[in-house]
This record gives sequence, structure tokens and C-alpha cells, in this order.
Amino acid sequence: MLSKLVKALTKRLPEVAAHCDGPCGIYDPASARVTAEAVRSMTKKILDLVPPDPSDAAATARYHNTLSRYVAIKEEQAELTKRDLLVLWTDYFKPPHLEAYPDLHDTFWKAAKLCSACKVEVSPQHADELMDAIHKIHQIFWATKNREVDWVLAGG
Amino acid sequence: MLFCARELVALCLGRRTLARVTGASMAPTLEVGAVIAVRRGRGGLPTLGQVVVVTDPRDGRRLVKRCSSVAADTFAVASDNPHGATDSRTFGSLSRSDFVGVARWSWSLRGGLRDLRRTS
Repeated sequence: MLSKLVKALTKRLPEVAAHCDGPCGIYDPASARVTAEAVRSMTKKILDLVPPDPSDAAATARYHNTLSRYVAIKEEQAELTKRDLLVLWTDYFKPPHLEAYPDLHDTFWKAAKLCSACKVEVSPQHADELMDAIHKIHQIFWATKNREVDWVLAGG
Repeated sequence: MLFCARELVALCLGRRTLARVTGASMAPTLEVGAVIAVRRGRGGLPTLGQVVVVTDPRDGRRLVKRCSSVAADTFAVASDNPHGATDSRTFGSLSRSDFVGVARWSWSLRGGLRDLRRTS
């Protein structure tokens, strides 16, 4: 919500580019992977929360507070994941990559859609599918650099 | 506090121009989407270490970089991100006319308000 507002407010500002034009290694799908892991973790935590007895006011307040925080973090991390993916898609990948990976656009488009789904839903299935999509992007990304980089999860 | 007040007044008086950062070559100082306030250069040269907005001599677009050296009438810029490729290593030294201004502060959702004078 807040990030949307900021984006809308700053959309019309002139841009100053801090771009790196070469395949210089500052791009890394790991940032999207970490935030997507956070989305999956928060989704699980939300589902694991047990509502307290409504007559216990203090416990109810704690429950709502915790639930609100979990939801806010999940939405924020989903938005960050989408942004990281869009940067990779639009800034790193070039036409020759598309020739080598014809489903590249479809992969990113579906991954971005999954970010949105994870943001508005509490869906472990979509959170898992998002991780799978980022895993695929990880494999494509490092293959374009002729490097083998292990897929390691921060959350185990 | 004094800095904030001074910058707020300068902003209200139109002495600061706001711009939005795209790209990551100035990370971690400036993240993608950060807003920066720029004080116009007025034909001078930047000081070593300042975060500056310059005109890319190749295509005229505006870049945000850090001033890495200053000579008599020229200056060079570099990216904070060590992997950044588009700076004076690519397009060489810049002249006074390429100097747009100095970034005074930045703001982003993640990083909050940041006094860029303290990042050199």
C-alpha cells in the first residue's frame, strides 16, 4: 500500500540513471530468491497462527498485532520480489538471451503474476510456485554467464 | 536537524530538484527507486567524493554518480557499486557543462532519509 503510494508520487519525477550497461555481475536473482523465501515463510506463519479465545482481550490484541505484522511483511516482500524480477527481466536480459531461452518472457511474466498472487492471497501453493519460478530464473541467469551457482535457500 | 530545516526551506524555494534513481550502480548508497534532492551546479565543479548528477556525454541522459577526481576544468565520476560499468571508465572525464548538480539527500522506503554529504 505504502510502496504503491510512493511509486505513484515519484512516478513523474525526472529519472537519474545509476545503470550498469554491461553484464557486470551486479544483477543476481538471489535478491528475489531471499524475498520470495520471506513471502513463503510469512504465508506459513499466517496459516499457523491460532486465534485466541475472544474473551481474552490481551491475547486477542496480541493476535491481531502479530497477524497484521505478518500480512504487512508478506505484502512488502512480495512487492520487492516483483521489483527485483522486473529489474532482472528488463535490465539484464537482452535479445540474444531470448533467442537461447524462448520462454524467457513467459517465465518472468508468470513469476511476476505469482508475486501478485502471493501478495493478495495466503497461498502456500503459489508461494511454492513462486520459488520454483525463481529457481528456473536462477538457472537461466547463471547459464547465460556460463557459471554454475548452487541454488541455496537461506531458510533451509 | 538544522540540515533538514535548511533543505526543507531550499526545497520550498525551488532550490532543490527532485529526481528518481533507476539502476543499481550506486548501491548501497542509493537504491533503485530512491528519491534524491539535487542542488544545481551553477557552472562550477563538484568536490571530490560528492554524489553528483551529470549529463552522459554519449547520449545526454542524466546519471547519478560519485565524483572520483577533480582537475582544473574537468572531473571524473565513478559508481559506488564496484561492478558498475558506466562511469568515467567508459566515457572519460567530464567538463563543467556536464555537471548538473550535487545530490544533497536521498529518501527511500527501505533506507529512509539519508544525508548524502556523509557518504563520501
